Amino acid sequence: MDVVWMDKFLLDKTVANTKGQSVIEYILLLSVIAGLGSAVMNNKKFKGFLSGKDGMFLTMKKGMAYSYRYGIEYNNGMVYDFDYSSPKHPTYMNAEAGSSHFFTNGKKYP
Amino acid sequence: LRKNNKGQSTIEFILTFTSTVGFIFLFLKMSLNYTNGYMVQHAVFMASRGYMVHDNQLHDESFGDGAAKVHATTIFKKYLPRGLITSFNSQLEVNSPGNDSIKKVFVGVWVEFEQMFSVGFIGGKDLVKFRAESFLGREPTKFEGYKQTCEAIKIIPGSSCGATSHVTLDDNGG
Repeated sequence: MDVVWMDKFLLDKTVANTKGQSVIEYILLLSVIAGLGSAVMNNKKFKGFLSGKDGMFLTMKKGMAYSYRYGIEYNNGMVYDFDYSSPKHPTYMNAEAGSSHFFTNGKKYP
Repeated sequence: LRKNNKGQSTIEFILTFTSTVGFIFLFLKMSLNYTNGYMVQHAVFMASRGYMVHDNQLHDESFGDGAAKVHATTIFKKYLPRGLITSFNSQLEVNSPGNDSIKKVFVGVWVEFEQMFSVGFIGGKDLVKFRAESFLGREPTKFEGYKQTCEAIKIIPGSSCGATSHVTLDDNGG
């Protein structure tokens, strides 16, 4: 008799319909995703990857300025500043070969 | 809340739309920076050509390079599309052949200007420094040529300069 009453009670009060289920699941899922997103965004390493000293965007900025000026792809550690007092301008000087990118005649012009 | 789920797509749209638009604006601004860079580089190159050959026809070599800078700046301003490149307020600089602290291979003109890296929240609005350079050198002015020729003639033996060797005036095409 008790079991029958319980079934009737649950049927009437709790599982009369399932309309709210998707909303609750959606909210729960959204909060989990938002939590994960927040955790990733506030992560020290991720922040460093995006905006740190060697972060992605800073590297992109440096690369843009460097390759625009020298016409050479930027790698971390390359120095942008150059004051024209030495011939070591990266566009002019081939650092690996230790000589100019430009060439001239082998023999002296008469 | 339980009546319908119309808001779901709106929320998802807002979440994805903001980040997507942010990335689109980032790459759009980067493209504009490169385009502006090409235009400035072209203007600098044209100015460098003017700087290389300008001759004020004066009988005084000390003003030649200064006049060439003014001439180069005029050309640079003419070629620079200010209507397209907003907030450009840089001046054309020259590496004069008279400046001994500068290697002669870098005689020419350059300009440094700044552009925003991005316009959206992705990438930030920090300024990126661009430097366009063109080092075509500078030809001697007519007066300098005249002076050098005169000096060469002067050192012919028997002249008042006291030179002891013969001089051959020769144009080697250089």
